[in-house]
Amino acid sequence: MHHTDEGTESNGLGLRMRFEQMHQSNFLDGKDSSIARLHQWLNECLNNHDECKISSSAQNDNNRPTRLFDLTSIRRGNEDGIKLIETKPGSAYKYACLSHRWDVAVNQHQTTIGTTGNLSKRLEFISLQDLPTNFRDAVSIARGVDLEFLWIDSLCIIQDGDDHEDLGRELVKMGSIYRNAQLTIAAVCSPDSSQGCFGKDIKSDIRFRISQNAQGEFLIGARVLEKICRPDSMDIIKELHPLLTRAWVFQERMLSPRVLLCNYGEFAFECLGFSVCECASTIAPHFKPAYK
Amino acid sequence: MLLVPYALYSMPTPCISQILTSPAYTMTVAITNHKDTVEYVHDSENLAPQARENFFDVFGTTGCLLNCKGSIRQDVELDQAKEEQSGAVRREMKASRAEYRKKLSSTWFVASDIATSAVKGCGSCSVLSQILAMVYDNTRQGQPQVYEYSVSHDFKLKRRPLGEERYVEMVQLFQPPGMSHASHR
Repeated sequence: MHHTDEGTESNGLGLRMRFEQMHQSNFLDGKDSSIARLHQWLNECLNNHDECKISSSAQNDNNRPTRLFDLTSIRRGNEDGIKLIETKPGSAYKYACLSHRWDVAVNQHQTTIGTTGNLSKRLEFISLQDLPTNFRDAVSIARGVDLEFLWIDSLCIIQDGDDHEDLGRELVKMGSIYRNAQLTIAAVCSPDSSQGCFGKDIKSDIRFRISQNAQGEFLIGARVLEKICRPDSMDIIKELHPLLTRAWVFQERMLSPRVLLCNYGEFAFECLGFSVCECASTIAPHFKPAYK
Repeated sequence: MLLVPYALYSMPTPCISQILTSPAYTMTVAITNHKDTVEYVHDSENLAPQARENFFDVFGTTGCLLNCKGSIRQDVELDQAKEEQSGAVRREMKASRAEYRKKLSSTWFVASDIATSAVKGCGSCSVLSQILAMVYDNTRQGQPQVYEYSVSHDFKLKRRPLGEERYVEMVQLFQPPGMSHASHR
């Protein structure tokens, strides 16, 4: 018997058939399904990949991030929120990192909540509604894979109001912070902080059940392609993977033992043990280089 | 339950009653959900070998007014060429197939063309017309009667406004890598 990604055993019927010339792909079913697949990949890596464990150094007082978001849900009136915590010496935290493109919105956000003056408020409550979409999606993803903590550079490091003392302390830890993360969530398809990790214009695949009296039943999927995703030019590569055009994030990807690439239309996962994507195919939206 | 394709409501010929009573519609296409198909679908790991069949062979092409018969012929001929192991023949067949595929992608039809072909008995047109109608209804992208369609060799279903060459919408058909042929009844 084979376990499907939905966690249900297949019926084990022996007759299997594929249509000539028709591509094969896993179904892309949207946010919840993507997070469930990520959870499987992450567990597979954490439980079975010795090489990925070796790449992480142990957390200590010199390389632990000073602050993390505690993702435990806090209700305040109608608002759902989280809070920032200051990490404790001698403790180890399982956390995710966000790799993202900064933009004007992130900068504005820092001036309202990323300074020394409002640190005490952040240690009590931050409304999720006040966070940019990339950050909210990162919270959903981290929660979805049972991680309790999240590190976002722009908010976990005090950017202003202390003569850059905190920035100076935390920047030297960056290598360890990414290396010790359980997962780095890379908002690859988001050109700014507002587009999120799931691709706003993506539609879930449609499933068709074809019933024919003589032949039985067939299952075929249909994927609506808004963008064809053949990177024929640098402009298209930039459009589809805006995060990867940033030199700064290259180190974040290289240092992280496990990276979730939130690509256009699907998740992909990279670690030292394997590299997988949701569709397991070469049809769009899977990124397929055009060879000429 | 027999689902009526949305596009067919607005077609002048053939009328909906003709289509519903046509032998072609002994084949029904229905949108189904994630839960109902779990038992048929494996993810891509640990898959046993699959038997390969031709879509047009399986669903039939009798009475086809479009390209379904040609699509069978191309695959069969190339298979024969492979068996013959003659380089020259294979190259010729490949060139012929490439030419055919190009022609196929540039052949456009309107909804009533494929529906008529289905009524004439083409099972493949029946399946594809129902899928086309449901895909574009499902995605809520406008009225079906003002569009023309094409189907490529690898089952890309394209749609564009009638008379408009540049703006093309596309839907890719695919099979899950696991079990797609669910059962014999």
